[in-house]
Amino acid sequence: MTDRVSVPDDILQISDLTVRYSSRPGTPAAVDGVDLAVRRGEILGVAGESGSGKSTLAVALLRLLKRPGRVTGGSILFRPRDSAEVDLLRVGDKTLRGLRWRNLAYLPQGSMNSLNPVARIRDQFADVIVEHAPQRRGELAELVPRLLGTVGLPARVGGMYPHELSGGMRQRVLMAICIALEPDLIIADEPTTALDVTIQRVILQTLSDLRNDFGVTLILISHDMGVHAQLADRVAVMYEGRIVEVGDTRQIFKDPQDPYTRALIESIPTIEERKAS
Amino acid sequence: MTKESEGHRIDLENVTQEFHARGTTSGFMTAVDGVSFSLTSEAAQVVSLVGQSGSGKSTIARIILGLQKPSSGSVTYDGNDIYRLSRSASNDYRRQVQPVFQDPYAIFNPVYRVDRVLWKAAHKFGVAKNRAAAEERIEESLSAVRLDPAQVLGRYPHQLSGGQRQRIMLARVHLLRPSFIIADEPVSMLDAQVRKSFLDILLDFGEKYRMTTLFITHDLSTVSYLGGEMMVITNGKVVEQGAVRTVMADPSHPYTRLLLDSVPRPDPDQRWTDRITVDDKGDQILVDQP
Amino acid sequence: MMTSTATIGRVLKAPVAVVRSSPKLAGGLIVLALLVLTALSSPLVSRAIGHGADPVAVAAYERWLVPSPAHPLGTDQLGRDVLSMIIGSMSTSLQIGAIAGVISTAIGVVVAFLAGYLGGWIDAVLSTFTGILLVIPTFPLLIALSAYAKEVTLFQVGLMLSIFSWPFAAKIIRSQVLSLRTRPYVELAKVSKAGAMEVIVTELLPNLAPFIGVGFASAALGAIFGLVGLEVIGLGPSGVIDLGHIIYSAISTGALTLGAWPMFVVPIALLTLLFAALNMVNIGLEEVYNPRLRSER
Repeated sequence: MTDRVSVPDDILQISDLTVRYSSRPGTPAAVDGVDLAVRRGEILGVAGESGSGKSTLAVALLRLLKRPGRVTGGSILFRPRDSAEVDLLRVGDKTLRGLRWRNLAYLPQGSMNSLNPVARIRDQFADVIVEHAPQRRGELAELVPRLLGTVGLPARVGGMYPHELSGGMRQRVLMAICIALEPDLIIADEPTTALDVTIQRVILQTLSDLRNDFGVTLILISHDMGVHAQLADRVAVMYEGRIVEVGDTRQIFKDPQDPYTRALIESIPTIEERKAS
Repeated sequence: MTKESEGHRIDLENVTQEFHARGTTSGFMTAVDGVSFSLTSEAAQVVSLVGQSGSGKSTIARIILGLQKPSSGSVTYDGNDIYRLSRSASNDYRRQVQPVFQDPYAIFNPVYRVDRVLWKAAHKFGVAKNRAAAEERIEESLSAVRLDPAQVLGRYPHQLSGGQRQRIMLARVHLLRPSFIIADEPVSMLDAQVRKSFLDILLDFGEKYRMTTLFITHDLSTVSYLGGEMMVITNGKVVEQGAVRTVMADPSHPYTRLLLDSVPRPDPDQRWTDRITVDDKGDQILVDQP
Repeated sequence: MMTSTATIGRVLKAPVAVVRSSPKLAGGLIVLALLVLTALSSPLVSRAIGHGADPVAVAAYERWLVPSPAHPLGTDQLGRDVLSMIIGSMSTSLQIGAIAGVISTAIGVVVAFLAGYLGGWIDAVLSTFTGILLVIPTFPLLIALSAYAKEVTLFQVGLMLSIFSWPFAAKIIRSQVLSLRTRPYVELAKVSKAGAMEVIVTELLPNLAPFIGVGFASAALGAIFGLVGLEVIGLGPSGVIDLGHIIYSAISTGALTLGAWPMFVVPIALLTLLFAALNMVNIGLEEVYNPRLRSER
């Protein structure tokens, strides 16, 4: 199933992307000829069960695939707001590094556990800024408390160590680091998994604010359909490496066209409806 | 195999569990705080214990299973303290109370085939008179959980999927027919489709063999699916209990209300209209009205 | 039903697969095997050189003979054939390493399991004791001990060395026991009425085999080189002739200045090979069991 024809205001255009883990013929590809266009400023949800290829898609986008996985075909056109269009798969390493964090940010699964345990939070911000935008080093003192505030964390968190924070707080720190350089696009892979449901709501609210207040485009990968229902503008459903359906969130939930999508929507567990409170 | 006609009961009376913890003022952290409830197997029940991580729910499971002696309070089986049972009474307790754990991979010792779990259970609890009879019972149990014995016996854990491994645990329960199943997050690591069939089998067993299940989970939609009774636990205390339908339709405790509010409804027409603020400590949640 | 022989067979099949998966492990084991074979060939070599007589008897031949077909490495200051001596003493070195390794590992395993699994005050006492032994400088103690060890047997040397090497094995194994004992399959065993001994032997031990292997290799290594260290400064226990002893002879008689370099170089080369082999085995085992250590291609 292909997405509609890409228009110039699409920030990302994935064409015929294929990722394989095994060169033996006959083994299915992890990502199989995926076409997807991402509109500037939207929240695009990528839904699917584990093994559907959605995480592999994210990792491939950023050229972070680990051997033996490799991209065997396709292109990914990225159009950042202040520089030329590039094909993320073919661009040089140096250019790619320049794009990372500044135009394209990534929140991997379980990333709340990947903060440097021996550095204070504000130093972790410093690491990113010094590496990717050294000219802004002077702004750090003002930037860190402001970014923490954006994700609802008090300024004193800057002086704390990761182990002093809960999982939810660490996830929000990572989100703050992600937006530090005001990227055009953030890819968040299962940002709420392994967090308590009450904290999950905070994370989702923060992600939504990022888009509403800063105009960031968000690709949200999650197996939890509730997350997509609450946040996404459009949803792409993946199954066995292919996108089986893409459409407005309402349409996907109320009028799914593809049989797999239909089965997926039908099997969503629900909670008993509450009496009007 | 017939069961005794009268049921058994497990009673928790003011159970408290404290652990040594660094970074606290007292040096202790209270995982379970004065919890009391009862489980009876007279009529098969499903009782869900709902809580977030760190709420104490898994500690309660371990206490009931006899793996962790509580700091204070008592757990009794038909009136007798389970931590003070005689050898034979203790064996009987073990037979009547069996677990299903969360991680379908870690539940199997990786150096052995999956059969071992079933054979050990059969052997230790004297499920059959001889080897042939035991083999028959094992195959019967595997079929009861809709697994093909030929597909599963002789395999190593890493050769099976998470869903298959978790079903072997259910087969083990089927083999032993305990009065009580203590299930600690058994489906949280399974895919949505696989989850449903697992829960269906669990409910079916409960009915057929008169087993009462204590189902521990953080996921409210699972609780809703299972029905029955529920208890909500936070910070080691049970703050609400009652029939699932009643509690979910009209929760009385603010924490329960917060939990229900926080689950993202899978309906784009019912988006959250209010906002959450987080207090200055960084992680206390308050819901603002719009 | 899983019989114990079937279990042992199964437990052995895994190591074979493991060895095949790691070039370092396989390489180390192959070199070790070659060294062991060489040591085992000692009687054959003696016969080939001595032609019936004992080539390492004092004054068997002329002193300081230059290497020749009859004596491929020459003879030493006492007229003994150097090749036979070296091969014979390598056998001694390996046996000492094996004995010390086995004893250390046995003690280490018992201590580690008791401390790690039973916890509480047993753990406190055993861990403190292990810690003390790890910290005190063992070399001077070994020197002191060997002053009393005038005419000792091979076994006694191995025993002496193992007194100081078991704490290393114990420490490694204990931390693994601590990590494994909270695994769900251990809890499942407990609710299936398994007693402590049964859990330790059937659930934990098979999963600890690689760590016990590392413990053994480390202890053997430590023992062999502890002994060499003592001997090259002339403070080794007398009564056993191993590779270190030969090196000491070579130094003290000034063999190098006399041109009799094989006596000095060959034992060192063999010890280096042994060191490398045992370390390869250790590194290989660690890589297999901790995939993150495997180097990216």
